[in-house]
Amino acid sequence: MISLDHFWNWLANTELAFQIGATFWFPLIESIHVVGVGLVLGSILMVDLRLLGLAARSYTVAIMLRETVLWSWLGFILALITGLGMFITRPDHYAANPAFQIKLLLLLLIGANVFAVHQGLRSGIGEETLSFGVRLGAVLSLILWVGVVLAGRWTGHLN
Amino acid sequence: MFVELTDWIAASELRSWVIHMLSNFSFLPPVIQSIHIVSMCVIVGSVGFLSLRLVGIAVPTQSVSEMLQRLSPWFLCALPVSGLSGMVFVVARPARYFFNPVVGVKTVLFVIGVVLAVFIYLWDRSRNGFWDQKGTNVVVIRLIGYFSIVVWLGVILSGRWIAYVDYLFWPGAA
Repeated sequence: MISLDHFWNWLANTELAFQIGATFWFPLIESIHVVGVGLVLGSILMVDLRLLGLAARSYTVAIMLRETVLWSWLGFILALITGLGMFITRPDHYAANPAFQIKLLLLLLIGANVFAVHQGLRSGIGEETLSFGVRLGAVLSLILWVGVVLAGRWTGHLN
Repeated sequence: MFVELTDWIAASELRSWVIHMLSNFSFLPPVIQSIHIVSMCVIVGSVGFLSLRLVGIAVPTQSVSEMLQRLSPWFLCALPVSGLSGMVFVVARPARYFFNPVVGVKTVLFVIGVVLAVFIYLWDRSRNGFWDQKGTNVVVIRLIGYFSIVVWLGVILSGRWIAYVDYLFWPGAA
């Protein structure tokens, strides 16, 4: 793992990492990260509740997906870029942070879940009640995203 | 007034209890903050997307009137949850918050945002779907939408900047 340590060290010593870590950039990036999180969860909540048939039933799942998934991605990219910006200021510190590791693991699970739900939706997107698998995926999505928020917040509490 | 209020909270039984809980159960601060963040996400998902709809850049097939009906319960549930989860930390350290200028900014923006949301709702009710009607001035609607977005963005950003107030007002001290 020596090479990884070298990489973290190099990353933390880049001009950009220094600029972010030593100036008001860090709080600015962190607050934009929160806006990204708001967009992701705000839009994901709509989609998942629609998949579960608990909200927005007057719209088809197809329309709901078409109109909201874009915003989830927008929020995610915003959160990803700002998250990377914060990460490079202390990469070794974050990589070793158990809460941060759990957060990344949960994000991986979310990725797999998104893939599974979209596969499940290929058949039967127009049905009145969606398949059990898709609804399970929607519940998992909500739990995993709340877990990401919790792990993210916890990352800041472990030093 | 803030001095009296701060002293009163600082001396209260509630404050000793909150501090006792927050310091003895290390999971409580991140859990309560996460509840605060999730309630913020519900606000983004309700009034945030409503504002984006007013501006005309999100959910084009949804009518404003229908969104107001569907999303207002979510907004109304998120308000007390975010308020209470935020208040926990104010009660624990009143001086940190009452003498922080960013808290004032956040509070004022929050009140403006809520009043604006209520106004949009009531205006829709009293004028039979005002926001969706053909004759309504699109520019005015968009301006109201942009204003709402800016206000709520301000609430979210200032929330985070409460912790970084030194950067803004006392740059030398940071």
